[in-house]
Amino acid sequence: MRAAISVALVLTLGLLAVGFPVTVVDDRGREIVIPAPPQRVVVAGVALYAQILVDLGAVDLLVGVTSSPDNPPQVEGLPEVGPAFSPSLEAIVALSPDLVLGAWGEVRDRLEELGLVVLTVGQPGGWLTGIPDVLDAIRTVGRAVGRAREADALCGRISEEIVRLEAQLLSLPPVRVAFLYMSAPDSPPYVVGTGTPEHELILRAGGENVFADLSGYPQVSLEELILRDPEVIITDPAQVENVLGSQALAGVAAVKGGRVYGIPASQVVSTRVAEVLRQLAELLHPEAFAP
Amino acid sequence: MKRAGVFGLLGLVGAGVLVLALLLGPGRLPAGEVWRHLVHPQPGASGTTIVHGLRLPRAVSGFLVGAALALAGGVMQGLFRNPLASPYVLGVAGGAAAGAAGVIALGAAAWGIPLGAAAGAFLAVGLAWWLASPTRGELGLILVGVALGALFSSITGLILFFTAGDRRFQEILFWTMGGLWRTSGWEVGVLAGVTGVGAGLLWLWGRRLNALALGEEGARHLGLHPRRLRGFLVGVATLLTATAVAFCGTIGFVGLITPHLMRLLLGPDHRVLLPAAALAGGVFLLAADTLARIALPPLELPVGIVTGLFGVPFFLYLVRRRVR
Repeated sequence: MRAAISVALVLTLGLLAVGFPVTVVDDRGREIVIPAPPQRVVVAGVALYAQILVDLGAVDLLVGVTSSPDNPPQVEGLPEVGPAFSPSLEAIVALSPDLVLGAWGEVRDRLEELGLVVLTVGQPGGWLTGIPDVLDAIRTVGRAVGRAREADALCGRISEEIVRLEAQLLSLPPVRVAFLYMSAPDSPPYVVGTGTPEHELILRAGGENVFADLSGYPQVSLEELILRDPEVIITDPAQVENVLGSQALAGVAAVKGGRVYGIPASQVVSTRVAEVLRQLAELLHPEAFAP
Repeated sequence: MKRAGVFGLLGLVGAGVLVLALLLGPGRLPAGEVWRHLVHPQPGASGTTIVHGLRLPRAVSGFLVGAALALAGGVMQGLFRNPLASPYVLGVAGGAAAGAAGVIALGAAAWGIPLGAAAGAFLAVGLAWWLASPTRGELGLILVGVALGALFSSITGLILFFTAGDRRFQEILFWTMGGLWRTSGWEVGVLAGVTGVGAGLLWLWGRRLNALALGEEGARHLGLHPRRLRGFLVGVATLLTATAVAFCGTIGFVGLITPHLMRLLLGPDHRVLLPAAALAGGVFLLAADTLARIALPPLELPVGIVTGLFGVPFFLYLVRRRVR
């Protein structure tokens, strides 16, 4: 009996090891070689990497994470290496990882100098700007930890959901949306322009970004927001009151119609992006989703 | 003798702090392990990486940067005979931040950032020196330097504004917060070289710096050329500060408080004051950095916060006791 279990174990490990060493391309366009299936993975960047590992059924490979409010519940109890924007080098090294995910900038340089394998995906610098980046992240990380099949399946599911959703919205006229962040009532908001994940979400959910002539996250005056008069305003859930409570914005269509909704930024770049997209589509086009 | 006492105490405390810096950290290695990895490094072992790759370079950098800043601060205070003078008074910090921010904004490689910072620092001071040249004495220089520092800070603010919402914004802010963990290998070597050379030169010129305390006329009567001397001293202080800032960002309070502390204890003779300030600055920053690392693991507090929180109260105590 024990012999049979050993054989099965060896076969499984062997199967997992098939395909290794794996070469993936990181955000800098550099080739990262993963010599063997990682057993001790540390997330030294945004929570997306932890989410991906959980969704790929690889959470048992995790030995450390950054402290982030967006971490999936399954990683609770794992040692923390500090905040995502400034993880502790020593805490990471002390966990003896064979793969570090998500480190960027000088932290990444130092870790690589010390001989660790670091994998970060997205735009150069590790910035994730939309759904293609999320799917690429899932696939790349999946390959790196020997879960390529599961990663492709997950990407397939997400893509399918998105395509199905977009088909439902094809013939509908776009709704004018402003996605913004306003830290206090009546303060000039930071609005979402092109090249951002929020912008992509608006377009795919059947909306039109009233600030599509700007790029990134510029700060605009309240007057500008009033002028562009969006029908719907999306912001962080904690800031919905700031928008609704702004005297200056009382005349804006979205505020008058009570169509100010909250979507947490952390969900926009996550493995839950298809669900968030559906949520947004239902808010923009309730008539298309009436039972 | 009092001087021997102060140096002896600094040496003892310094050694103690160095030991603590190597023993303590989020890696939580027992003392025996630390010693083992220190004397018998095993490439690939995480303990060796922590001790040799992380803690040791960081401790050495901390000491060198603290010494460099304290030396530069001491020189500035002696040159300008102004208790508010710090190593950054001539716009070095502003220029370095603008230089680093500019390099980051243009998307240059990581090794370009210290170069940009150093270039910005020297540009700021050079500009200050040139703009202040029609004036006599040191008042013009300090006023121009302060003004330029403000100008370069505004430029940095502008760069931050245009990169807001971008990864570059985070990188720039991060850089300005300062950190001793960035240096490794050759960078520590450069720091050591510059600090050593700077310290040596300042020690040789200690007596001349003393003479400057007599003012423009007094120094001239002693056969010195105040303007040229000021130029050399500013140059050395800027070299020390720019190197420290280029590698580790702007760390405050060390350069301002440490020379004052030593002056209160040992008097204004720069031949004694500057070496003591260097030693004290190094020990102080090393202690602050160790505390920053272990206070709230695994968070690492920016070391500039710790130097302020702990340095200032002790300094205030000494001022109230000694300044009559």
